[in-house]
Amino acid sequence: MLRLRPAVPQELASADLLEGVYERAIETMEQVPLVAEIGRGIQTPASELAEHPASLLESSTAEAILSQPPMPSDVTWARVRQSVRAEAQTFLSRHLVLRRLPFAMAIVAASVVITFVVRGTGEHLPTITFSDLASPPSLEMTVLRHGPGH
Amino acid sequence: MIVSHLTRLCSPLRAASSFVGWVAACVMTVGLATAQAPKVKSASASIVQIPTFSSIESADRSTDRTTVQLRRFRDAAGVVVAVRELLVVDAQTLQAQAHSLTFLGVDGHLPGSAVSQKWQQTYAKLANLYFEQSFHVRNLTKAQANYTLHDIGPSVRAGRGARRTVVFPSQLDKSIWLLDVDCATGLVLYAVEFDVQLRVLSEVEVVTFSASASLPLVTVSSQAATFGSAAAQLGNPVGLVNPANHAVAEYSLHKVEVRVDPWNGQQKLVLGYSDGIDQFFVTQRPGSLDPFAGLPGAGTLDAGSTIARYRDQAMTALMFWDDGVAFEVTGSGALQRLDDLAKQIYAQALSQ
Repeated sequence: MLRLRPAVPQELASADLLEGVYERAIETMEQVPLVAEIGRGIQTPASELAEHPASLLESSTAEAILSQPPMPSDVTWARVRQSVRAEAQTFLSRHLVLRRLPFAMAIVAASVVITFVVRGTGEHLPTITFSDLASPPSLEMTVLRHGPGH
Repeated sequence: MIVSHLTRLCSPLRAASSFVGWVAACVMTVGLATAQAPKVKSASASIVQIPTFSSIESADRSTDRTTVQLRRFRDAAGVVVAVRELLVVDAQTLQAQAHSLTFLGVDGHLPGSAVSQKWQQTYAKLANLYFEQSFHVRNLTKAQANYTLHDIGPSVRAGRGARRTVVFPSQLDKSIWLLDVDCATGLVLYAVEFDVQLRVLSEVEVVTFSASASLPLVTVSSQAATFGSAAAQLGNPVGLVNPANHAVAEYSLHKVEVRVDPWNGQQKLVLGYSDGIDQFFVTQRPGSLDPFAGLPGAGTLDAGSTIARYRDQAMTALMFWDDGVAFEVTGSGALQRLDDLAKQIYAQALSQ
């Protein structure tokens, strides 16, 4: 029985009945206070509109915006100063390095070129090794220790 | 850690005690000569002073003497050679001591023989160095710091009463000395040099002694010998190295001189270092040719820098060349620390 939607009765589908429902709804709503308020709309008094909207300044938010913020403590301000200076120094260092880097690279390159030109393929300090002799050399020490037979 | 430190400290002392015991047991047979071992007699009734480094050093510096002594070597073949010498020491002042060492002959060879002539020519060139090579207390403070004396007992040498004494190094990479010290004068009448394995390296034995001498006066230079003054004497040649910044622990510079090489007539600068008794030398000879120049690969980058090294039980010789200067570092055979010193000096020469 509920599987199919029942058909609307002929009496409810009549236009006269529907119009009567609308009229009763309007009459009811006209008696509700909220509806009366909405109907009246937002009305600003003319005197208020003519002056500076000082009422806005009475709000706590406006007051907070316009009032001077509290000064930070000396310790806080010192930390702020340090961080600003550090930032500035880093910026300067990077700035100077970046400005001087090409110049430094040019010097290094020139040194390398000069080194190769002057010293040929380049010199390196050789490692020192020992070479053991099988017989005593012809030195004074040999004669002092072993006699003149060498 | 304390135990290990004591162990390390005691090791040289234990070795010294063992050596002294060995010497006492072998007192009749020690030395290179198989005969002529002295008889050990009781000391005379007079008070016998135990030798000290101070008494030995003082006697050596201030006592006139004329002695005939035998200096014994092992030659290249290991055969013992005994050379007879005449030593005259005239202790003229505390600062200057005149001495003269003269070749007399080679035991077992006739005068005028080839062997005798060769030795005579050698002594004509190196007599002074043979005198320096004998046992001396070169620096009293350092000798007291780096060696210990162990009195063994009475002895007789050259017909004189003596005390047999062992000089033992605190570092075992040096020679050990057995001495007979004259009771009357404090002079060393007999000195045997051993390595740490108790192999005899050299021996000097006084056979006749006279406490008198007379030699021409020597003059002492008022200028202290320094590396700078010696280099100036050579004309400040390029390539000389002042090894002042390099050291071998307990050794310090005790002699600077300019000598003429007896074989090639070249002047050379000789720096002598001593620990009080032992000594090694750093010799620099400017104007020398590179001895390795003719070798294959010499002068190339791959050749590297080479120190020629010879070492046996009696001697160490380290030789290298740089910038026209031939360097030699020479000393006793056991002193292997000379290898590092030679490397440091060579590195300094290469960096100049």
